[in-house]
Amino acid sequence: MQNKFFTKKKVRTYNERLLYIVMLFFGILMLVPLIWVVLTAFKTEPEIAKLPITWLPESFLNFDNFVEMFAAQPFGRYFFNSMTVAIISLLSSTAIAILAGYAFAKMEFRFKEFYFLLILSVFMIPQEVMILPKYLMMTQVGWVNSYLGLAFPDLFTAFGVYLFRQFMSGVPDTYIDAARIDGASEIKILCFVMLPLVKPALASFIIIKFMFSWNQFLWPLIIGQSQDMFTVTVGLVAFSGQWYNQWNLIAAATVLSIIPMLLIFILLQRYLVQGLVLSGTKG
Amino acid sequence: MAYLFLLPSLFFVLVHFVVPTIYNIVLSFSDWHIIRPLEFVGFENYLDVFTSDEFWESLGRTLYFTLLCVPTTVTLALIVALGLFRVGPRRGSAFVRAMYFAPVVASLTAVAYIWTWMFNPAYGLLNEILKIFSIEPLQWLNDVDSVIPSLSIMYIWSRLGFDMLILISGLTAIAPEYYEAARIDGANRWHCFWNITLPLLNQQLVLICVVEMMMALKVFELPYAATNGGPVNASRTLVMHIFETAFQWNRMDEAAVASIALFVIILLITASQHFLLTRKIRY
Repeated sequence: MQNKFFTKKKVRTYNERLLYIVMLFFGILMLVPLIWVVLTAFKTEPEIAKLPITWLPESFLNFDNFVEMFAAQPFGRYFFNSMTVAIISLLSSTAIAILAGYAFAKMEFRFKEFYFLLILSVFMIPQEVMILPKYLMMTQVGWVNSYLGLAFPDLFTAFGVYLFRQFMSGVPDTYIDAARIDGASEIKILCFVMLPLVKPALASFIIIKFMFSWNQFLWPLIIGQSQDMFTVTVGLVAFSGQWYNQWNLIAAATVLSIIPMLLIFILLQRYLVQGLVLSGTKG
Repeated sequence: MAYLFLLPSLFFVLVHFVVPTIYNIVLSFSDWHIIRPLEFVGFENYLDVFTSDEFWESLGRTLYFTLLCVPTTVTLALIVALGLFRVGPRRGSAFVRAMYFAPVVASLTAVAYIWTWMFNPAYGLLNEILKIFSIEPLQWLNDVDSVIPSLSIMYIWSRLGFDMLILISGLTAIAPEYYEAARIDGANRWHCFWNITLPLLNQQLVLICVVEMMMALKVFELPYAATNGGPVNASRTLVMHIFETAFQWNRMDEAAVASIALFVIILLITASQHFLLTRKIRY
């Protein structure tokens, strides 16, 4: 009996090790397209048209593609634009979501449930179906081709309200009550008591929001009409249209466009994963 | 006081949702021209859109794409999630998980270029790999019949990691006691999967089905960047149809009708998925 148990356990760990290797193998396969585009970004034009294909570029110090890319189109400007839009939307949506999240978590008022459902229902509606009226609204207030116009749909995120409500509900009421007795105003309680306690949620929200904003495409394509208002994604498409079939250049631009997200992915993966899971599990 | 905290959120619900929805409906019943004011025309636009082949064809392609993507993504994500969960926390397992999850951070425009180069019939990596197995090179994105399946490969690759994360978070939440109790009752692994894992993952599964369905129905970046709707319109999706109708042919009114159609389709599918797939379980 004892013996049988041990062999069974051995078989199990053996199976799990095999499974681990299988998962690792397919994981590497998932990375192949990303690795391939990075390798292509360092190749010269004759190299990418060589058959049979070569995996590694002749030199990893060949930055010609990147140099040519910056000479052809103002990618620095595109980065600046994407960053500006991301920062505007981050500031606005975070502030608004924190306020509303706090009200839903720790304040009492009439029709609370109704307002909460109203805000959540906005989250369920995809951007794309509202794009025409929003665009026409932008033309009417003159925000087309401006940073505020580019950031407009991202100024508020219903998901943030939900996220902060969840986290703030978890903070014990005694903390809040103690501060209220001391005569602190609600806004002070929010900033100095509540916010330090929900820092992880704040980090997750900021990262996930940055990612959504950075990866936007259809809206900035419509709103950023002149080249100096292109975001990185729009600029990437414009660049690829200009250098049709020059895949070493397009690969370089593609790599550059995802570098900020890759950095976040590598450095802040914990918050990114947490944010994605939270954005998904809102039920 | 609480209303003050809610005010900014409610303002944005108004300008992001209520006003655009009404505007969209008004637009769909009007004759739109850049300089003339709107003129009520009844159901004329609806008639134009619903009798046009372009609308139905783009809708058909979008549904085909959705049908290819959603079941595959969800099934693969479930397999990967189960595999990674079974491997459990051991050295390097976080790294393996990150491999599957890495593509999620890339924008869909970047995904489109990464894969267009992989799919290149002459110099692409995929045909090169097929050659190893002595399979004839495929035309991938350049062929009317294979363009949508090729686009769905891109989509599945870029969405798999997100669904996997949600499912892993669901698997982690299942109490191990259920499995122990089942094992004592003599259940094998297959029984456990059908009677414990799947029912308890129901919430996460419904969620990713709904999210993926929505993402696939509104697909725009992938065909826009990779094929620009080609070859011969074979990858022109519904959102692309809306975009071109509105911003290239300047027919905002007809595009508004198509947006409303997309909105209703998404609403119906989301609601029916909730209704059909959600299982109330009690243990």
